[in-house]
Amino acid sequence: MASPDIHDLIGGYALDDLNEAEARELEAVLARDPALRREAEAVRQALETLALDAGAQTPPPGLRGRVLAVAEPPRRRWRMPSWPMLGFAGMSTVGAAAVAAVIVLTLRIGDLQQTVDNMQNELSAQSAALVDIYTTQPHSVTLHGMPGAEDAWAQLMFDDAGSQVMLVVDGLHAPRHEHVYHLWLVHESGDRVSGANFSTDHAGSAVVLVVSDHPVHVFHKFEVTEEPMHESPSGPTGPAMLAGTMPQ
Amino acid sequence: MTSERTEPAERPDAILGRRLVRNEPDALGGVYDLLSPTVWSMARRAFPQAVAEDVVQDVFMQVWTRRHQFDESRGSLAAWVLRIARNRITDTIRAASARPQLYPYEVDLDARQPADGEPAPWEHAWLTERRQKLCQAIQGLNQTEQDVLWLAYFGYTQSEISKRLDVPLGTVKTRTRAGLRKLRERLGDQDLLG
Repeated sequence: MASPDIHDLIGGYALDDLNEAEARELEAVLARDPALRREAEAVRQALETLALDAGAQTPPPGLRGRVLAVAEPPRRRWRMPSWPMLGFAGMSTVGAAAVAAVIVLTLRIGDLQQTVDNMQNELSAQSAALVDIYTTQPHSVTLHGMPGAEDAWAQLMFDDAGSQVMLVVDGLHAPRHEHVYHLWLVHESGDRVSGANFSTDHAGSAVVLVVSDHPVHVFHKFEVTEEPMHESPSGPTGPAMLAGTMPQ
Repeated sequence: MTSERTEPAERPDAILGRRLVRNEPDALGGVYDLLSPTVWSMARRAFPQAVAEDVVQDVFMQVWTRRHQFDESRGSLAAWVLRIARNRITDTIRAASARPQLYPYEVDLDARQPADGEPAPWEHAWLTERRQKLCQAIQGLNQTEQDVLWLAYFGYTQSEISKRLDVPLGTVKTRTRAGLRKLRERLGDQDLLG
């Protein structure tokens, strides 16, 4: 029978709280004692059940929709926006290469969408799997429509370094007169920086080049608000029209 | 010999787990409906509402994107999802602890019961039954043992628990391990999430 000390070590093991010597001692014992291995597993399971002690409160009513919207965003046919609506109007020549990259990326998105559409026609019974292909791009964040813009949808796409960032918007009505949309890059602390100003075309679409001094990975949340034109707001003056969170 | 454990084939999370892996429509919604009250309550134990919403959203996003990694032969869907939730909460607390002035997140030890809002009336009876069994087991632990276990569960180090509860480090270690041992003994062979 194992000594009480070993049972203490098993507790520490489940809590990831052993020093190196203790861990080595316990692992040596576990390696030759199947009953103790089962006991260690039972202790680990007992610890995990503490999740149930948190209670069972009802989550906020809108959260389910947000979760499902992010995981299974509505499939939309991509429409190339008209050039005047692109958010990088007025960029310097420094941005020319980035603009070219946006065009290439846009075409690739169009290709992807076309491929998805074709596959859906052929394999409609497996549409959920196609949504998977569409949504599991490794570097993208989905922004979903908030109250007042429920039909809107956007995707923030970026490269490995998080430096080439593009926002693709669909279904977002044009801003009010003398207003533009504003993309905010929000740190986990709530501090935010401006990412881009843009408008949308008659179909509610836009492609926006996002400029940031920091890799996009450092941000926690992304929001789009409507702001007065010709002003540089330090923070949103209205509610979010689109919002999304960086996956961990 | 007939096993008494005929339950898994009927368990709601077992059915949902298979549906999730098969990409069946609404499978994620079913998982959310079953487990979100627990995940939400876990998150609210540590974070303000806005942060908790982001955490819960991230948890179920991970459930969705990592669904092909779920293997029911290695544990139940409930255990898998709640482990993801615990890791996400722990990571957030740990990241915040480096800058507590910006992120004053602390696990709320006073909220043994739901801190606000009504208990979810739509929690599945299967889960409610297990929660009740756990409550019975936990009642055998004294308050300090419950507190240190909770903090340890959410990834607090022993020294952090010592500071938080203002008790010596050695006492924390003793009570954490003793509390876990008692919990294990009181649960017996019941693997509530297994």
